[in-house]
Amino acid sequence: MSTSKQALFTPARVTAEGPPTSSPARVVLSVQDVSISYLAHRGRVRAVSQVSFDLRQGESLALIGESGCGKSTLNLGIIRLLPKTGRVDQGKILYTARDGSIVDVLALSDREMRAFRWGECAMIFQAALNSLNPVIRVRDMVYDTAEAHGRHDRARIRNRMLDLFRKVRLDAERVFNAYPHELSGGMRQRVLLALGVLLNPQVVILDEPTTAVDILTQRTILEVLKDLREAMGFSIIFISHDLSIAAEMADTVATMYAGEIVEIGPVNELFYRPRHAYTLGLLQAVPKLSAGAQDLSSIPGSPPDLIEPPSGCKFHPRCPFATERCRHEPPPLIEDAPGHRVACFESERVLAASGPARQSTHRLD
Amino acid sequence: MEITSTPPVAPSEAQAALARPVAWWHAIRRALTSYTAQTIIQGFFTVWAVMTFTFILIRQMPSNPVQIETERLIREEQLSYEEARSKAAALFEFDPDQPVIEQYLEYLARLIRLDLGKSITSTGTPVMDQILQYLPWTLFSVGLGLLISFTIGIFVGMAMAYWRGGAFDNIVTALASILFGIPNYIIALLIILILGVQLHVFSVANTLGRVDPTIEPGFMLEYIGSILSHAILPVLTYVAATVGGWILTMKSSTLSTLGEEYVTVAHARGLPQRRVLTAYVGRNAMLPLVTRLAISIGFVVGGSVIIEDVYRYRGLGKFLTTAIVARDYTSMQGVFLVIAISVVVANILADLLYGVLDPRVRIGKER
Ligand SMILES: Nc1ncnc2c1ncn2[C@@H]1O[C@H](COP(=O)(O)OP(=O)(O)OP(=O)(O)O)[C@@H](O)[C@H]1O
Ligand SMILES: [Mg+2]
Repeated sequence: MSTSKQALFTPARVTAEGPPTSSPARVVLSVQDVSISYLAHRGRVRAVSQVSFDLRQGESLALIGESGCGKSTLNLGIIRLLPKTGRVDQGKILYTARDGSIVDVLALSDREMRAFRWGECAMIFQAALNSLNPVIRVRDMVYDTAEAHGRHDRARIRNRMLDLFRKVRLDAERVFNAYPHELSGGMRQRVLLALGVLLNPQVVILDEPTTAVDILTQRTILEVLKDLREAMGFSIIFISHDLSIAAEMADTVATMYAGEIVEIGPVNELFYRPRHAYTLGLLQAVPKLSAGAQDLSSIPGSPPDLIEPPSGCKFHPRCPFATERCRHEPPPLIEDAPGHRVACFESERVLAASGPARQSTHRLD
Repeated sequence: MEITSTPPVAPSEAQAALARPVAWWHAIRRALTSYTAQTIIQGFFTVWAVMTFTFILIRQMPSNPVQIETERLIREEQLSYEEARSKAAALFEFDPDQPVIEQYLEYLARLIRLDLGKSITSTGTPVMDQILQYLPWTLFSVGLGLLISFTIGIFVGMAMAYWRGGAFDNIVTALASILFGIPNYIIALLIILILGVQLHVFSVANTLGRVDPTIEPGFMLEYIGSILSHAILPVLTYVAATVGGWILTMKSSTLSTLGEEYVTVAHARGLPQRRVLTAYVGRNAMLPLVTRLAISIGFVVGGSVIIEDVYRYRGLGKFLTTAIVARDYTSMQGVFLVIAISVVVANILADLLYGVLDPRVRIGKER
């Protein structure tokens, strides 16, 4: 299914990386020390601060964290579609093209950026219901997308799209010719999903793809997503409030708090041996059918002001483990266990505390 | 679309014959309740109501054609009242003492045969002929003004929304608001005073009227040029008076469209700016303006009365003022009827056009 699209995306190389390696662990997207802020009336909203992570080929990374912690901002920054008031203050976003060349996304020209979007990195937005132009047909949006990336063979595009629509379990012919309002929310979400992989991108970003739909539609979407990923091998950045979905979809999970990644690691590590008090708090707030209400706890307080964040560890005002040191010194993100990095001075105590809780409350799979 | 209720294949001829009147009745009922039929019926009703209302209203105006002519004769020919009165009454085929209800029924009876009657003051001239003679000039000048104004409004409004907060946006917003606030006749007077009298950009005497009367009519460059040069001032006035409204509406509509998710998604799909601006932003932002445009087209006929008077541009508006001054009831009635019909027709067109542009409406209407 892979088509010859590399010819379209040939921005200047930043670094030559030798011949492309066939190793599955190749890093596709490397976010390095990225900070993003918005200009607001009261001052600069530091929505993302010094975030770093690597996304490997075929890997699925889940971003979890409370509303307003900067998940969408980070991903809009990656495809450089921040609103006019937002800007990337620092950092690098290195993308490894299929031919092995590495480019800094933040340094791409407008034309190269247009080719990068959707062709290399597709983003399915949070408000999927409103993501389709109400006055034109689905097929015109498909052709628009393809033609923007230099594919003018309509018959081929149509066949490929119908094929993908069938893969996401849609009535392909009807949907192809429909107007958006003729489709249900779940159908629109799947249309976007299929449209998202039309150009065979290496990275697909999904911003809460399942929030606006019912639980059964949600299942369908997750299943078709898994199928597509298996067939096409793209990497995923997955934003979700639902930890059980994150557990199901992700290889790696990153917890964000107040614009920072406070903990990142393999899914089982992070969910069964959390080392950050915030991750632990999120896990303990998950309701379980089997667990009684008394087992549920929520994190006291609310997320901090991003214009004037607290000193030291930004989580300390809400943290039951906080010490004097946490109030003054920001903890660095360091590797505690293999592949498991955490920004917490008290990670050992958190890990010890999560031990007993682990058995009863948060079995996620 | 509703499912047709024709019965399944009839088992026998006799039964089919029996079923026929019922099927007919169904067909008629379906036709009458269809969207198109209802729109047309509604339109007819509106026109009739406006016609009746104006018929009564204009006869409530003080004085009447005979009275006015009598006064003119007394004033200009120094006749006695009696003489003047009988002369005036003999001049017109109009009896002011006839009850209004009788006049109304007579008028209605003629109207059904598409006869607008004869002008009262220009004895013998059919009102229809007069309207057909004046209407094209108004349609041309006001229509051209509207077209120019709408086009400028769309593009400038979109550009302002796109570069919102910039110098261009701020300056044009101020200008548009000012223009929007000034009535069109003031603009007309200002144009004459400033451009004509003060700055001598044009000669006032040569541009008034609708065409140079010394030039033979025909498809010649000279004649057409004269038409255009005489239309410049009214058209300029219409544009100046309405462009502010179009600009401001388009700006706010574009602003809200730019905030829509599908615009961001279009960018995320790597679409070129041009395509996003036309098919995604422009087309959606224009939707609310289409209705306004169609309604304005409806008022093309009636919206020109004062401007045509100022510029001595003899279109339908000027014809209407003359008719009002002379209390030429039938002519006035004819013009009001034309205005009512054009507003109704324009609204129907707006509906159709909206349906073409917005698929969501198109579906709703078929129900
Ligand atoms: N256009 C904007 N101008 C100013 N501040 C903004 C803007 N957009 C977002 N923010 C702020 O940036 C922070 C991060 O917002 P973001 O939308 O990235 O959060 P999120 O993690 O995606 O939340 P959610 O889970 O609710 O989608 C929030 O505090 C928000 O108030
Ligand atoms: Mg979000």
